[in-house]
Amino acid sequence: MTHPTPGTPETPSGATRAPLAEGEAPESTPLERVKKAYDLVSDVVSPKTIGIVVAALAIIVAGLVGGWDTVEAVDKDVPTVEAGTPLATGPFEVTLLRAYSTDGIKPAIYPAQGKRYLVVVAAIKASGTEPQWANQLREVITLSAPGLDQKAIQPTVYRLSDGKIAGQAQPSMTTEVVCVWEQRSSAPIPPTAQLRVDQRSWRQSTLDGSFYWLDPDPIAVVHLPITQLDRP
Amino acid sequence: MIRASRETLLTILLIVAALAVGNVITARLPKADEVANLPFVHTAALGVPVTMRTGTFAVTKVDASPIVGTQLDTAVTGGLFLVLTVDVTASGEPLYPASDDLRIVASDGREFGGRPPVREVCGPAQPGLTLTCMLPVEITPDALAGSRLRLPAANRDIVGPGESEYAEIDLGISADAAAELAGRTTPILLAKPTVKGK
Amino acid sequence: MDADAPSVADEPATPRHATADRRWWDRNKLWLLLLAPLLALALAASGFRFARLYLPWNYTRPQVTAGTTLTFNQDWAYQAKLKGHRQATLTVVSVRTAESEDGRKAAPGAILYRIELEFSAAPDVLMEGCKVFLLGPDGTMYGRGSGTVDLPGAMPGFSLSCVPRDAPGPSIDAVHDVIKTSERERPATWRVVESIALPEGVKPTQVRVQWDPPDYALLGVGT
Repeated sequence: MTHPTPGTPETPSGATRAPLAEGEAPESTPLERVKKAYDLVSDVVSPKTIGIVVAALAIIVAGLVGGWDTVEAVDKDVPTVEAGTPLATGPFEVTLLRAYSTDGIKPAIYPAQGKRYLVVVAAIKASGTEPQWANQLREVITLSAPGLDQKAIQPTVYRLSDGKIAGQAQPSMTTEVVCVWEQRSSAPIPPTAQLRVDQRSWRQSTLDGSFYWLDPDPIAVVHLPITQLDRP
Repeated sequence: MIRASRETLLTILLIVAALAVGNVITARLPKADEVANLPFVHTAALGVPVTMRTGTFAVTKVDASPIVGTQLDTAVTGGLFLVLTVDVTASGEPLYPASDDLRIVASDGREFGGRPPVREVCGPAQPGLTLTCMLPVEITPDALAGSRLRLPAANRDIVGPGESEYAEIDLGISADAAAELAGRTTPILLAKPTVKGK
Repeated sequence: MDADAPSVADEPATPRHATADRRWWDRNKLWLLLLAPLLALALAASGFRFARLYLPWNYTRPQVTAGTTLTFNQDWAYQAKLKGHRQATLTVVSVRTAESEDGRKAAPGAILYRIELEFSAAPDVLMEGCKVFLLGPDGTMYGRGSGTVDLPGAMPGFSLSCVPRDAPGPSIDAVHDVIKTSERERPATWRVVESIALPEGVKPTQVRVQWDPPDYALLGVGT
């Protein structure tokens, strides 16, 4: 690429002009001005370099205005649904029915010092064609109440028909189950049980390649009025 | 800018085409994994013994009730408990049959089973001595007709691939038999596993 | 390079083909040497599928004697937390048929065998948790808890006592993950009795005793 040597400005028509007098600015088109500016730095800066610098500036400026900040998970509005609404959670279709508080219901739920039990009755039906472990309800239902031990593995799930620990829920068959949470008896009994229901997807874990119910996604909130039982 | 000559361009196109063709071929050919994981299935019918690597198994009787129990415990279901009487003769070493891993498979593909709410633990079956167990399975009445038992040769190992050998035993339940079974209400007492004399 | 001008100092011409090969070996010597170890590493890295073959989770190492006495040696580990060594002398005292033993008798079609063993070990050796089997002539294993009928009114023991009840010696406290030991020191030698029902017509030919995998002991039944 050859550059026009400074000192002989050329008008578009090709005619040369008289040399500039001192202090007199040349009349040049904007394009000529840009070209002149480029000419001054063209030995250092190539189009590629300019591209890289522009991109870097764009990244930095984006960062300055918050483009690289962690995006908070969008707290979408989770709809509140009535008790008795069937909810598709992934492993089961869950219908939350009633809630109770009690100091114990023998023989399944033994009274113990300092403990109270919050009980939710639900109907579950395994989706798909295979049995699903009923205690997977722990992964799709969350109870908010004061005095619950957040680290304990809860709730414990029993069958309503015979009080046995719930094993697997069968497909196409609705089983009524009783979910029992332990609460410190020093905490107050809430007037309603606030239950958040999540939906999960059956997918391969990126950690070990096995399939699990993963990616909890809240789909509904249910408020069940709590009836106090107190039948030790 | 790379000055792509005609040769370079052609080479790139050829490589891409070869990769695409290779992709299509490998997608259609059976993979070693799929072949290695093909199950070993033995088909049989009610009353017919099936021999697998862990022993010989036969389903001798089918009963049903909404209530089953042991001496200590009773379970009730809103559906039905199908109770299978199974004869197990282990071979090679003592065996606990896969009573939690077995499934009753309905004609539409639904599978029923898993750890039942009450059970009499079936096993250990001594090699050479036939052990008779009663195994309950919770099921819906509409799944009975045409159902079959899928019994794995052994319980699932904690580590390692799932069991790949099983028996598919047709329980021989016709639509009429299914209706009759569904109507039964007498509670069934699960007997302790017993050794069948010769 | 001017190929047309011969010079006295020129090397005799070598075929171009051989020259190129030699240079290839030379150029890639390091990576060629590393090829074998890297391949081995790659195979090992994909070895998770074969975990059951190389991890000691099955009983694969028998210590055998045709006689009735064996000194058994193995290392044991409890999860990743505790480990130790087990050295014991095992002796088959007798293998006899019996009408009944420990509240059980043989079921119809079976014969009950009473196996008496003598164990001898230092008092600090962990000896709990053993299993005893009888082997038939074809190698079939027969174990406890099957082929027997409880005698009416009897309370049969649930599991085999591998160590004296009143002085069991060391045992693993699974709650605290430590080895605890009994107050009374275990005697240097003690007897263990097991009963196993075999199908009629099958004679036991070996006694198998095992604790943790992969080692196990095989002894003869004696006369």
